[in-house]
Amino acid sequence: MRRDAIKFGFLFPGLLYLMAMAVFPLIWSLTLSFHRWKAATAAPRVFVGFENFWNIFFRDPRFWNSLRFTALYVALVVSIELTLGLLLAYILSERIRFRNFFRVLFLLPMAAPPIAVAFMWRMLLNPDAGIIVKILNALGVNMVRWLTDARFTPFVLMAVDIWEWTPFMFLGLLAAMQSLPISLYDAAQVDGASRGQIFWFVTFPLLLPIMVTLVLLRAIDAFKLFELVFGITGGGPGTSTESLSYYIYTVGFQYFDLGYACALSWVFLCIVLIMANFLLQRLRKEI
Amino acid sequence: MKRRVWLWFGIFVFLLGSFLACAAAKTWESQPEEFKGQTITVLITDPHSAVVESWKPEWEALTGAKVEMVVVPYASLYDKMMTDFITGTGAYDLICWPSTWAGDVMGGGWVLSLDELMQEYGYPDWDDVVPAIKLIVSWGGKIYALPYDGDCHMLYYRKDALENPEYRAKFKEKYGYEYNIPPKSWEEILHVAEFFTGWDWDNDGETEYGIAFIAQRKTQAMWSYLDIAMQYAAQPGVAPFFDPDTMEPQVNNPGWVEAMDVIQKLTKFAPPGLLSYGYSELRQAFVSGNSAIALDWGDIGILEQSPEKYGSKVKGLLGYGPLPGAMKTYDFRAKQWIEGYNQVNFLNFGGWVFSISRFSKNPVPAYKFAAYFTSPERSLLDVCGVHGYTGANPWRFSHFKNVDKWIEGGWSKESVTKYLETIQTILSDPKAITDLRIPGAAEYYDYLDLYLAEVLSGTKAPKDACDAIYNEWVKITETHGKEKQKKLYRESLGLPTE
Amino acid sequence: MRHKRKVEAFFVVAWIVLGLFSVWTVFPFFWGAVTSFKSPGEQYSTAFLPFAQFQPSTYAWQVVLGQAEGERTRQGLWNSVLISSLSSLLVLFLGSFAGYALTRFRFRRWKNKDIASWILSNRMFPPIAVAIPFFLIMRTLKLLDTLPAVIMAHTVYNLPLATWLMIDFFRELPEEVEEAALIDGCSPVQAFFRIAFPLSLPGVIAVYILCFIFSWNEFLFVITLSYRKTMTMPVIIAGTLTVRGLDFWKVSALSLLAIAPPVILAALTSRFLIRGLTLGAIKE
Repeated sequence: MRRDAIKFGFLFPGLLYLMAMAVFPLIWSLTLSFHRWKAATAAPRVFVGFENFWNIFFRDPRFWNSLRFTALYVALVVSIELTLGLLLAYILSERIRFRNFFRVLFLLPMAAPPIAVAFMWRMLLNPDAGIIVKILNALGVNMVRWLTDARFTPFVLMAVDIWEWTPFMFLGLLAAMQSLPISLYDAAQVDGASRGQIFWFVTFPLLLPIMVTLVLLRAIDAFKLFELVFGITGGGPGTSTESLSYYIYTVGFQYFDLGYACALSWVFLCIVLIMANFLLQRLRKEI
Repeated sequence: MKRRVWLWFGIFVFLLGSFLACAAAKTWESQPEEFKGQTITVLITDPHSAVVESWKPEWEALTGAKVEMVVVPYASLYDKMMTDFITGTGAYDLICWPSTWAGDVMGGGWVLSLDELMQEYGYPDWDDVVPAIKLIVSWGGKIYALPYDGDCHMLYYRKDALENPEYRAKFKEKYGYEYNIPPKSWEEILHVAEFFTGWDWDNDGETEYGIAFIAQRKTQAMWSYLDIAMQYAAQPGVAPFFDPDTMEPQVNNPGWVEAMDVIQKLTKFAPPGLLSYGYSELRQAFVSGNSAIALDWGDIGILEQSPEKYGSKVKGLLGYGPLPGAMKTYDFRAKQWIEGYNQVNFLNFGGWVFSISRFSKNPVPAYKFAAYFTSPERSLLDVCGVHGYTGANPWRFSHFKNVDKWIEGGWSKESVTKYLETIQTILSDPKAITDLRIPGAAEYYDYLDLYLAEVLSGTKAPKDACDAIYNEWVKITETHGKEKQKKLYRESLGLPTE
Repeated sequence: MRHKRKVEAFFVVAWIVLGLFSVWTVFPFFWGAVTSFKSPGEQYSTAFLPFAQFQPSTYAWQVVLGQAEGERTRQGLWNSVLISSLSSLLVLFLGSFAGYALTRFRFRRWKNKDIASWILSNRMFPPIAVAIPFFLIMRTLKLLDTLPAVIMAHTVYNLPLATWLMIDFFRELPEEVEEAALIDGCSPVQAFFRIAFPLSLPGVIAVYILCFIFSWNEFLFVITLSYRKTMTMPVIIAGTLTVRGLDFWKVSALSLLAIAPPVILAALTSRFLIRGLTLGAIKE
């Protein structure tokens, strides 16, 4: 009994706080998602049943387009960030000179506000005066094409995301590598295993669980991609970089079509939940 | 008997006199200490915040009131304002907003009609306001906002390119005619832009291009398109967006499609980075001298004047003109092309205005504060450059007359005369066409912008894009209610609503 | 001998990677710093060597920190510091309690896993759908434009992350120590404060810094819940994109200011960050 009191005492402050703050928004948005409410024009709310959801799935190519872009985006940036993070963490867990310096250096981009990152990159990528554009043009890469061709622009946006969030992967993986038991390595070295073998057969399996956590956290945040689109491309050229979260923002905060925006938010939540569950069930056995 | 009449007459005169005395005290000009202890809150964005900031201390000292400013990023202004409205919070008294949102803000009934306040306290020289701006601040015959800024697109061109006799001769040789300066029609622009693309016509060692305009998604590229669409799909005084009798969107009629075709062709004569040109990129690129022609609001003219602040390399080299017309125009009522020259002035964006929130608890001080800094002499300082870049462009007849102040603001006499003449011509046109001013305008425009972006990037053909916009516009109209939209659309055009 | 050559090859590759990645990481910051010392007229030029190629100007810094906007910038920085540090502190306590509860105790009606998943799902909802209800809550509580409102919102935003990371830390800790303490007559609360919490301190610090950074960078809740007293740096930076366009010199100066505090914090504590974030990797 006493133990029960203690265990709920530990859990409840956080849980109740979250519930108190989250319940109202959830109910509010769920209710609205069954209504049509063009709030900006002072029009009344009209109950429309599942019409919003029907429209999302069957009448809204923009939703599918933005979902496709977002999914591709998440898949690519998360895997590249994971690979790069792994590489860097591996190098910097070796005894290498200026190790601590690099460790701090590589963390920096993550600490910058995304909105500032977006504006800074917008400056670097300015088609006429951007320094990166000029340098790459001098190297013979037609950078302007990358910025204005709908087929290539998504990759520019991904590059910025990779710049900003590789540190997150790097940090998590480096920390994990630091705590790997040294005895395993000694044993492997005694057995005459090569560097590649040790990494592949010893380090990698040990890192797998944390990689899942990192991928999960990063994927959730990458799915919410907003600032970079908002600050750099506005979703263009064409609709090539319109992310789901940016589309919801447009519907909610520019059209003030709040019913539809809430319905979209719930669909968004379900998609992320499915993704998260997939990662957790498949790759991480027990919490 | 007679004395009685005299007595009553005396009383009447006394009452009338005292009433007039009271009325005389009720003036738009703020009185010392009249709002002591009151606070008004202004929702505003940069750079307009700088204007209010500069008048604030003076007015506070005069009236004893306090002005609180809520400065938000431009991108958040709409949602900040609307969140306050739809939740009925009433945190702001005075709101500075762009009149292109009139459909939602005025049409939604979120702001006070100012007619009573204007009648009671008067307004600083209403006749001085140019007609187009009067149109912009009204809705259904009532005034809902105080004007503060006059906005319209104009044509900028490089005098050193277009006026060069050698180039003109070459052009004539190639195309068989001489172009006007500035070019008068989009057909001409297509040729001129083509002619000036891809070679170094100002001898600075860099390749230059024909035309530049705003083309990035979500930076309101649709204005660039509407500049063209107006000429092919509208006639002076006839707005082209919907058929006012049936509320049928006109956006896929041959006029609009033709304009879409023209803008797609123009992308070939533009700098390679065109598709990532938002406001800042366009203005920076043009004043650094990379193209012969540009479309913009009055802003390029102001940036042109200060090399030290905006890196302008074209000071004194720019010419200004009204929007080009077209050699044919589609009459949607008769469903046929009308051959012959057609030129329409269009009030893109419409300018920033100040309104009083419906939920405001202090409408009177808010009104008087806004009237204070939009009075003729004070507003002149904001538009002419004496106060630096404020984002406000001229909107009163008196602004156009006081050339001396403009020269004080850094202009050369020749430039400013031409610049003001151009803007004044556009704004004084009683048949100028205003924005789409119905509820949901943001949504209508965003879909226009969306499919325009696909045309510009070459992923959609002009006709397909126009059809796609048509479908979206029909959908939007339906969700808002077709009859309601029709009534409001007619109201916004000043047509009778049966 | 062969082994040794291979190791050297590894170091060569490693140094190349490090070099490339350093340039990639530093260049945007470097360019921001250069731009912030250019006069507005030169902001588009490619010159990058001060004195040799362009005359450094403190114009941007004068605008940002001087009379014109200095007060707003300083207040923004101060608000950012207050909001981030306090909300992260709150998150840390709530998160470590909850994390401890979910690792050391077994819940029956709702399984531990479900509770943890529910907590995490709070981070998945798009903030846009939450912004207006939060506005309504805070208005009802009369907290609009106050620090508590923003702190509360950021706590909701960061608590899921913190709880999840703390779950991993506590799973790392050998339970035996606490059990011994319990047998010695410690209460579970004491066991938590005297043993579990101090032992996972590096992790706690790491979580704190991560939450600090996320809170520092958050934009949408701040703009929704503030009028003027609680504006933070990201909002001020977003405000540089005006109808006139984007002033590079100003964005650069403001961004550097906004980046500095979390970067300094991260640099100072990087040892803890790395040591702390083991995230329960090894427990298999």
